[in-house]
Amino acid sequence: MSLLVDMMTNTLDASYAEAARRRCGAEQPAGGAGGAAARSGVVSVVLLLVLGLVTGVAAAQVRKRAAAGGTLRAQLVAEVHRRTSESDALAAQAAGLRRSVAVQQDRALSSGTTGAAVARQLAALRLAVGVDPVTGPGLVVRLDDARPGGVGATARGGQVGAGRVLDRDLQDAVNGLWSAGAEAVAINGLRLNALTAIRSAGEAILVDYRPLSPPYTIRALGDPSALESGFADSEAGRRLSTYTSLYGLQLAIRRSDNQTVPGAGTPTLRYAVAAGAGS
Amino acid sequence: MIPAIALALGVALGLFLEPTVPSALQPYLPIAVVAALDAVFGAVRAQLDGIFDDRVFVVSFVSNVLVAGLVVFLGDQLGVGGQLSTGVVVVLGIRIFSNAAAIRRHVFRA
Repeated sequence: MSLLVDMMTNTLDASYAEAARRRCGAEQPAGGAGGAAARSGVVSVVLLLVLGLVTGVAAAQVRKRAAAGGTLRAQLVAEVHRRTSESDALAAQAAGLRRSVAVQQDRALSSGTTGAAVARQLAALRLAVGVDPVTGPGLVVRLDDARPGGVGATARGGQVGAGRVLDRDLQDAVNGLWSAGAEAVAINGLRLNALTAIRSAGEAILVDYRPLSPPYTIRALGDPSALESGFADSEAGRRLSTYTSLYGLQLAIRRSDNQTVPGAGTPTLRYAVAAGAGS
Repeated sequence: MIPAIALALGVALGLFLEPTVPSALQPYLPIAVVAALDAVFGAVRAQLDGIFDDRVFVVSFVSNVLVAGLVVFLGDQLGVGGQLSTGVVVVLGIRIFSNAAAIRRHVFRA
């Protein structure tokens, strides 16, 4: 304790008092001592200059380090944007190539009667599997995170950020739409086929392994009124509307007379082969 | 007055010139600044008490910086550098505050 008390009370360097005592004892030295005092005065000024310099350097270092972190982050964000747009361009290219393949296929098949039959069958299958873009009336379900500072303050299922739309909310909504009779479903312009996964990685929701950001717009094709009532009556619809009142999730449903959902591309099967094909 | 100008000039130079500091010395800069500030506040208080002495100031300034740097360096070698720097900052901070309070009493009589 005495150490702390000593530290709190004797804050002035004892040597100042001692030097003052010594000065009094020496009775005002004259002549050469004055030059020495001036010298040490200069030294103190230089020391203060050095102190200021060191302070400035230390502050500059901290600022530079923070700026370096910021640029790194900006670089990463730019990289993410670049890669995303690259992947979007590739997806568009793939869609174009798929269209031209379809056109070539039709042309090749349109020569004979059997070919025409195969072409018709192929077109029907492509529509059903979700390879081609389709258009028609349907329902648009828009899901968004709770507004900041809204009701969604309580935790939901131990998850961080109860007011966020989770992957299972999207799964719920999509399943509800399927069960209500949807014939084609797309989330934020990504068509769902039989193999599309909706899952989360960290805080992002991945649909078909592509990260999506809110708001999530689910377009479903089908009879609008049947879809709307079916979705509202389904367990998923009821659960989502509970979440809107409990956690502040934003859910908006509207009918659409004519909307287009894109194609999903051919699903790649790595292990499954046609049952008749042997092996 | 001149010392205050020198201090401000030093800060400006350090901020604008941004001299490169060897990376080994970088962790000691903040400690050196705090230690030197302690010496400066002690000097101001001594000045107001009327017992200021240039030589004592110079010696206390340099030894403060060296001892603080040495303590932190030793802590770094022993693996407790962070804790020791905290200790140094706390102790010197308390001294700075007490000296600042004494200076305030001198200046404002309150």
